[in-house]
Amino acid sequence: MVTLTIDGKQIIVEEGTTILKAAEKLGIEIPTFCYHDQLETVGACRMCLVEVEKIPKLQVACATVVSEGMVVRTDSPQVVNARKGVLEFLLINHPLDCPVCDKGGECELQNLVFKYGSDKSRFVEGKRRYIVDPKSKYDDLAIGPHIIRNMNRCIQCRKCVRFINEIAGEDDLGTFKRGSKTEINILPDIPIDNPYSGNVTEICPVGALTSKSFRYKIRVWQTEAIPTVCPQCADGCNIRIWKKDERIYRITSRRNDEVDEGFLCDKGRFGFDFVNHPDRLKNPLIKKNGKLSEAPWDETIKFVTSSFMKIKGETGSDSLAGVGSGKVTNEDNYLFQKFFRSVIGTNNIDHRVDSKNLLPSPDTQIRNKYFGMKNTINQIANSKLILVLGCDLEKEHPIINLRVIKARRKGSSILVANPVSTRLNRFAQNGLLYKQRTETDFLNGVLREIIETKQYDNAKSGFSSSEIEDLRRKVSSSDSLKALQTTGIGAENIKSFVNALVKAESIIILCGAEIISNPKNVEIINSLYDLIRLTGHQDKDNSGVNLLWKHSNSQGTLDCGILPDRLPGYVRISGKPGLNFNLMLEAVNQGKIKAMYIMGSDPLSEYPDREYVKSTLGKLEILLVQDILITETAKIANVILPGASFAEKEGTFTNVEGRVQKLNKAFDPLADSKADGQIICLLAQAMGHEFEYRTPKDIFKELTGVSPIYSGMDWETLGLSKKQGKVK
Amino acid sequence: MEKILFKYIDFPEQYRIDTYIKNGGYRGLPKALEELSPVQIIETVKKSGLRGRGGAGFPTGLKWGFVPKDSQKPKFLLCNADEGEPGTFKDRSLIENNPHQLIEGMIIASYAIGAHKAFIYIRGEFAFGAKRLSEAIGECYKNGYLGKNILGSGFDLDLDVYRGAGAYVCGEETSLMESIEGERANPRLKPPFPASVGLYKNPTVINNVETLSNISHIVLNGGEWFANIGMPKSTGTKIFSLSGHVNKPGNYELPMGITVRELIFEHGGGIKDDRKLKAVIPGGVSTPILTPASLDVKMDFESLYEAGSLLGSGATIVMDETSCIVKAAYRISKFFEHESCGKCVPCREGTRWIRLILERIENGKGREEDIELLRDICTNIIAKTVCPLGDAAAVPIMSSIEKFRDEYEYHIKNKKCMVDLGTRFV
Ligand SMILES: Cc1cc2nc3c(=O)[nH]c(=O)nc-3n(C[C@H](O)[C@H](O)[C@H](O)COP(=O)(O)O)c2cc1C
Ligand code: SF4
Ligand code: SF4
Repeated sequence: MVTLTIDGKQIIVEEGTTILKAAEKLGIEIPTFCYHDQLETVGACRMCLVEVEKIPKLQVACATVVSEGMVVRTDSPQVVNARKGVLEFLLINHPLDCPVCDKGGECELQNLVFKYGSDKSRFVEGKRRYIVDPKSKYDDLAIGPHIIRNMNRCIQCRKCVRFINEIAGEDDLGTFKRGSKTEINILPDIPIDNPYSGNVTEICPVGALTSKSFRYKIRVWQTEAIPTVCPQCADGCNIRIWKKDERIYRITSRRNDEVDEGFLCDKGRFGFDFVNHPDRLKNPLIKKNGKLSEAPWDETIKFVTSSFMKIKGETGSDSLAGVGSGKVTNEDNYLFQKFFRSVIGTNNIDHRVDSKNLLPSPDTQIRNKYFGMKNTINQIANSKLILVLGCDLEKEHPIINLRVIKARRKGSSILVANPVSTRLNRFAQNGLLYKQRTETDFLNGVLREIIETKQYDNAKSGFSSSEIEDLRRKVSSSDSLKALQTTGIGAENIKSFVNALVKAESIIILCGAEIISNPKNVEIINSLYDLIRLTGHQDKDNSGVNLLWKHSNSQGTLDCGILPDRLPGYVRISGKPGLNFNLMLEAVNQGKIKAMYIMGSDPLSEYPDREYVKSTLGKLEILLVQDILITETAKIANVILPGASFAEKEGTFTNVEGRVQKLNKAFDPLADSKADGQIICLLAQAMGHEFEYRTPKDIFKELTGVSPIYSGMDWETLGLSKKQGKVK
Repeated sequence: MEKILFKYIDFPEQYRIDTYIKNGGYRGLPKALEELSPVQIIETVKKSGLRGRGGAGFPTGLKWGFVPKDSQKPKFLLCNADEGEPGTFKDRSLIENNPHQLIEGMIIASYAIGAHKAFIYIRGEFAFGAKRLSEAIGECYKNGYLGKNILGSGFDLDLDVYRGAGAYVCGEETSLMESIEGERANPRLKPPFPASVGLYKNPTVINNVETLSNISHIVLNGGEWFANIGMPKSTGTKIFSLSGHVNKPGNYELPMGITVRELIFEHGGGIKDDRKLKAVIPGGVSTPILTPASLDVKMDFESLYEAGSLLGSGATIVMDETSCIVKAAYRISKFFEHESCGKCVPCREGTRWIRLILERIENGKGREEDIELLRDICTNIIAKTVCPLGDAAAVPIMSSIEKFRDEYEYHIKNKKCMVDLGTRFV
């Protein structure tokens, strides 16, 4: 520990702390422009110069490490003058076009000039202009599908370029020319179009890089920021919705270092069109004479419940089935299964409509190995080796992808094995392409190499010699050797792959959709567990096998019992389990299931065999689809109920690592649509059941009482503070 | 006194390895490899008092000693041959005419710091010098002075020529490293210093051509021999690149501590056409300007510092009475505006602002308040930038105002030069 004094106040901080961080702890603000704690410190803007006793020159607080007895002043005349000087330098060539600048109201330059700057200008020369088009008065330039550049406003902190290089690992934004002509630009005719490009609009402290979709639509101070969670994928980035009335204007990051470290992918940032989309469902629709036509809520509810009751009365509860979704909240899903189990009286409940190959449900109340992530998102960046298997990580999990790039930057090895090359392969020490469906053969080859060359960790693996022998026999069988030939991966590649694996101090394996829905998914996962054990990593923190679910609440949907054989919290069904989605389809074809209620899923788009689902679902007496847009499945439904989007409801999502995070409502459901949970309550009440919940909070409370893995979680602190729920 | 570095500078074909050897070359290297340990070499260089000839005058032995001895990381030696400081042209001569003297010094230096890979970063424009060096390096490999097991000593060294990326700032040591790494030549923040975190984040020593060219002589003749030449704290000889209004411009190797007067009048043959001396810039354009009152100042690190200037690279620019100081300052400001790398705010914005004001004054549009404004801008740059280029840009302007304020005032008031040669306006 080091003791130092800043502006007369003493503080003790850890060794290696910078003056900037130490001052922060004391609540002393030192202004900066180029500093960003996720980027390498460059000390370029000179805004944070402070006085350090016994050092003649002012020092940059962002990079100067404290030492014992150091005496720092951040408010001396020297420091104040230096700051003023920097601000003056930044302003002389600045166009001062704040009234028409989109950053107005949240511009760091504006704010710091307001605080520390001078009110007079001494600059009488011509301002520098970066002319893009001599005919245009404004020097705006579209440098990519999402980003407009105005160099005149740029203060050259280069945070944009550094983010693109260091964090995103891309190179489509750069610094050109030098001195006062320095320019942030793209290469000629190569637009910045990487999946993280939008972050630069948020990182840019001024209005030099603005978002095409947001600019000039509204002034920021006219909008209201609602903290919530991104609905686009399972990573669960924390976001803010900036809204006015019933409209989203933009989405920005609400930094959470456990999850997103302050960055979003472009899908999350810009892909909110669907919320204010003109095609949103606004009213219930009932098919009459082959045509869907609007109907009032009470009539529709009555129609649905009487149909359900009729079918239940005629052929029993199991003639009905419910399909939930990984895209709706825990509360919605919880109510959904409760509706089916207690109101209808069936366990025909599932949500896995995108695969014919389902993984076994957990056997106990905690996760099993065919289940979710063993590691946290943060641990990924700490692992010495990351193996990405059957996953286009950048597309499927953009933010986890950034952690892998971060690990790479920190010197970890990246191995990628996929049927086709992915963009992550650029960073891979080894990028192997196996022929589709040969995963097990490939993995057997890997295990065999480890065993035959005796490179396994005998002591730490915990395998008995007979277990090893069994494994060896399996992977070294002539069948296995023959199968290895079909993978398309040569012996040399397996060798170097294994070489990297056995050397690593920790191994994290990430499996994507390709593995989860693989016909041999169980076998693959077992092999990966063998791999982790053989290399002696099974009990380590920064090691493990992780299955990456697809949807924003895939994990929560499992947790909440949208499964035919498990109640919320994976409590085993006492009697006979219900039917999973594949079996439901069979039962429909056998005439055993007559009504299906699909909430938030779209099997016609998601199921591997579209024609089969389409013809099968077409046979139902009642197909009730609840969604926000007319999905492919909704098109063949008899009844459609308009649900609310993520922006219009409160509730929780559980992300891929099992973190329960809270969604907040930005505005009321569009037109006559309703939150999914509310619709379920209306249906249940019409069928004579109580289902009285004032808000999603009540539902969550009930869920925490019912589900052992959610017990003890507190609604009030979920998602908004560091104390977010985390499933053990 | 006898020259050290320039002794054979005009000797025919001195650049060839056999001529170099015939003239006493490659004697220091075997001595170093056979008789001295790396630590002993560093001690010898420390004892010699040799200070860097690239501009900052940092003690060379001390710098080498900072390289961590127990580090498992690869170490690098870099030779700074970017020679971009206006007025400086000594390294070019040393490279073109006596490349082996530099290479021998580099092999010894590499051995001393434990480097097995060294680069010569040569200014891009020096195409001929680069060729000379490459040929000389080729001769070395052929004759066992480079490569594996040099002269049977077990010491390995590879040496490469890296042609510069075309900016003055490439000569700043950390941006030079960025440049070799293939990045923009932007200076890095220090600390950490190159001795611990340098090229590719590995321990690195960087030295000027002239500095390294001295090494073989020091090893051969001993530290004391070198320390006895020149001044107590500025030892050895220095190559002064003399330019401007003198009769005999050129490179002069002289002991440290000769006076400005001796340099200009004895060696440089005096001022052209017997005109009067107006000003001297003693160490390249980035050093403060001196007036004739300083003619008897000794040219060494300490004396010039005390006189309010710096020895810098030893490039002495002489200006006679026909020179307009404002115009000279304007020209200098144009250079630094052009060469600022743009990384840090005061230098990037300040150099342009200074140039614009001086341009205005030159064009007869100066305002009284411009002088104080210029001084203020300089103050806001000096000691507040990432690398010394910012200081280099502001210090000469500041000193020109201090020393020749009347010329500025005249310019502003009369909208023309004090020295009227009729063609002053841009
Ligand atoms: C803008 C700038 C340009 C420089 N250019 C050169 C150069 O061309 N050659 C050189 O040897 N040193 C140059 N230097 C000094 C180097 O940074 C460094 O101090 C020097 O190479 C160290 O070698 P020495 O200790 O042998 O002098 C420059 C410094 C600055 C700030
Ligand atoms: S565009 Fe913005 S982020 Fe990029 S350098 Fe300029 S001010 Fe900084
Ligand atoms: S002082 Fe000038 S040259 Fe040096 S880093 Fe700053 S901008 Fe670049």
